[in-house]
Amino acid sequence: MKAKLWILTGLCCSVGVMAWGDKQATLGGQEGFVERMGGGVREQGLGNVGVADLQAQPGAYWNPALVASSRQTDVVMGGEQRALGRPGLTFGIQKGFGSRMGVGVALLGRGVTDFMVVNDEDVDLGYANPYWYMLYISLGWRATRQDLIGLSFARAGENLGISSYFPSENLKDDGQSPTSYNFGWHHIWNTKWSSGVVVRNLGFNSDLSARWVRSSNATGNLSSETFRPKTLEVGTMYHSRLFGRDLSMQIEVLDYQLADTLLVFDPDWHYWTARMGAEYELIPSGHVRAGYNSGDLSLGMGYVFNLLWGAKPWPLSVDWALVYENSAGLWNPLSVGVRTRIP
Amino acid sequence: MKIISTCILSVLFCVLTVEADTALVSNFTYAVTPGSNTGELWALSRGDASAANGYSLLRLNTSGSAIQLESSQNIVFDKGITGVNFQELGNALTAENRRTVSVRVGDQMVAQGFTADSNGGLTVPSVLLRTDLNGAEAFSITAAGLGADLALASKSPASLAAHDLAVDNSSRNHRLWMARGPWGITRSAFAPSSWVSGIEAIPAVTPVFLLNPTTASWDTLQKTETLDTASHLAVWALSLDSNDGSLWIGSEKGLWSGNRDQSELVRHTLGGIDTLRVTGVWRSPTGERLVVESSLLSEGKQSSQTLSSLWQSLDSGKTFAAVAVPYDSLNVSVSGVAFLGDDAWIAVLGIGNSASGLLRIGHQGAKQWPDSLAIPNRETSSRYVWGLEAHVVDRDVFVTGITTFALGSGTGLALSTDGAGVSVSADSGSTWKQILNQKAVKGALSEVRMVPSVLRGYGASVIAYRLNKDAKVTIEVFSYDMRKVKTVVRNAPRLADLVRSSDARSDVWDGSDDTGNPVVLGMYYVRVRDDKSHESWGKIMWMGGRQ
Repeated sequence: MKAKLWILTGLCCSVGVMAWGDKQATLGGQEGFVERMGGGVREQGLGNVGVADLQAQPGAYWNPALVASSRQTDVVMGGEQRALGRPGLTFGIQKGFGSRMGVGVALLGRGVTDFMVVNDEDVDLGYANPYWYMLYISLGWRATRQDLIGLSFARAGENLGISSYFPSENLKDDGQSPTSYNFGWHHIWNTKWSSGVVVRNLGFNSDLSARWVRSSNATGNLSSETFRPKTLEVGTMYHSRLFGRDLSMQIEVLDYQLADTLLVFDPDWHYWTARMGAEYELIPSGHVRAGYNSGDLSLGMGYVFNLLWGAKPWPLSVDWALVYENSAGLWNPLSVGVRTRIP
Repeated sequence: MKIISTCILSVLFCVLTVEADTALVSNFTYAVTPGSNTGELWALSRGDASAANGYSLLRLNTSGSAIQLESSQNIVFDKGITGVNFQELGNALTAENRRTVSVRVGDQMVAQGFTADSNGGLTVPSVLLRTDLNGAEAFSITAAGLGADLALASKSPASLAAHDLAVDNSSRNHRLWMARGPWGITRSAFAPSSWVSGIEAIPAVTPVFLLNPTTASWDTLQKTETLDTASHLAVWALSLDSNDGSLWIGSEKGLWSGNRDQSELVRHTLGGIDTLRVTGVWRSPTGERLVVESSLLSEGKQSSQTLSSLWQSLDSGKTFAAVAVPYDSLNVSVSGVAFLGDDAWIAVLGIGNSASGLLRIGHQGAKQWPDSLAIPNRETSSRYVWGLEAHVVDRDVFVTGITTFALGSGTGLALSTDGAGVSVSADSGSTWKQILNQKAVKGALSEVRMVPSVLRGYGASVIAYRLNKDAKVTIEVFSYDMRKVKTVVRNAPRLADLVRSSDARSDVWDGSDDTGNPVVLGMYYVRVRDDKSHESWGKIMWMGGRQ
């Protein structure tokens, strides 16, 4: 118990000394934004925490080890419309097999609606709807009763949707990153405490770098060399009861290595941030949530409808989240998702 | 053979287009030339779109030093022709290829025209473009003067180029003079104030005059003869005075003067040397003042370097003095020269660098723009280069040409720019008005328009917005996940305006973050907020490419 309190205290203290600021913009390309903005409406209400939470979905994204916890088929879908025309979607499915294994797939997508393409002459050329996505495929294994480990492969893609407006420049709308991989570990300490560790964005090269040289035109002179920074996520979850109902709290710290090398320990090449969230069962099967994510605040609600699939129980959870993007002062109340376990 | 056939057969007719809602064919202008009447100004454009090639005739009026655009007419070229060779303009190291030539002949505009090469680029100088308000016509440059030795021309298409144009208005039939590099000079007759379609308007064969330095005279090349480049000098520049007939020639070796009757030539010395490679000659209307550019390409093993000098004569060409300050330190070429009052305004364009603007040369030397105009936090390359800081242009663009023209009761200055339309001054360069195509934005800070909204590895995007009341604005750029990337301006005073309140000098984003590094590829959002907390957002896509 003492050890877990130290972990929690250490994580809380680290939140106070996070290095916020300009480095955020360097954290990978647009697919980096997709990844960091997360998936799952329930988790958005919790401030985008999930690495230590067995309930977090899609597990292939949050922590590949979590898919090993599925004994049936879990499905999650969500959609949102953020301010300034930024739609997003999440889809995940995971299923256990054998006695200790699980497999999962997650798709995170984000886009821009009604983007007016204006040329150098100040002339409206038309609208574009660019989009970006991240696809994860994971495999989890329950190593012990308390330990789950997992591996996921990830790939990013995009379609900018603007090349037709600049026919003389041979621009390329489509792009697809090389495959990268992530490791995850989930540990259940006891009925109250659990923790998770995820190492993200490793590549198949000597630096283990998830590097991507994206050429935006056919001649290749309009290119961006980006890499998704190696990321260490450490989280813990505390579960208890308050007034006879479930209460859980989570906190995560994230370390992004900004240098495109194997490992670097200079703090100038690291960006730290934190997330935390809490969930309380306000009414039977009805939950309220609150979260904090790198300065952004969120609220959420969810209700589990206990339906029947034939004679078998079929839980269907409907979730809603509100995200306040603090730096820009934008309210985002349009996030709705469903999750279910198919009997 | 393809080029020859293109030359001979390319009698091309182009579509007349009058655009009522746009001032210019394109905001990318590369030459300006006076029109026939007071207040009229021609601007030659080449934009990215196929319909963005052509001439615009601007009609301007003045009220004090204020300038109003009364009307404009746009004449669009056929999509297979342009008056601007981007490849040479941007990449050439030799000064004679780094300017866009254009001249008024009667009520017509004439410019070098370029047609497609084997790669589809519009780089072959095979035609002349003749334009008036009835439309534009391109005709074969060979028929206009090069009857001889087409085989050589086909091997070296660039040798067809007209490096400079001048017009002799002394007779009813104007004569167009062209400096043709190794082909010396050619003359073509024009029927004034009439539109004659087809090649018949041009003499089938016009003599080619070659500069013979040994005899200091002109040799005539006949159609059947072969070009003798060893005995003759290439001609890169010419200046012709219709009134007194005096002719100044810039050649491969030396500056020459003569007369339009092409009698004996006189070679002049520049800095004690009479064999400098002269690539530009400009003469003031009074004839007393001349500006001369010499330019030499020094080819090393690793790289080549352009060695240029600028010379000025205040005594009708008897003596020349170098304008060493600041010219020798700038590494630029001259795009055009305009004489106004005591000053020569010289448009310059950096060679392999971003220097561009105007040099203002008085009788005593170059003049700096005043300290009071300096833009905070902006590094100034040279106080002698009148550009963005001196309000000559309203945004960070290249200046590509300059002219004087009759405006109101006086003389106006006008210059072409690479992306910001045309700048005009009615008060000898004290204040400037920018004339360009701009789409209206909604007032009361209810819209932010990014121009362009896709940054494709170069340039910057102007953040356009409109205030109904004067206010202080803060402009910030955010990433897709709404993390602040850059503060463009903070609490900057901006004026209410009926068109736009943006200050295009500073309200721009070039794809960099607060540390000056390029951001990663993706969507970004620009927030403009005034001191009353009114705000609006614009969207921009950054496609990378600037490392």
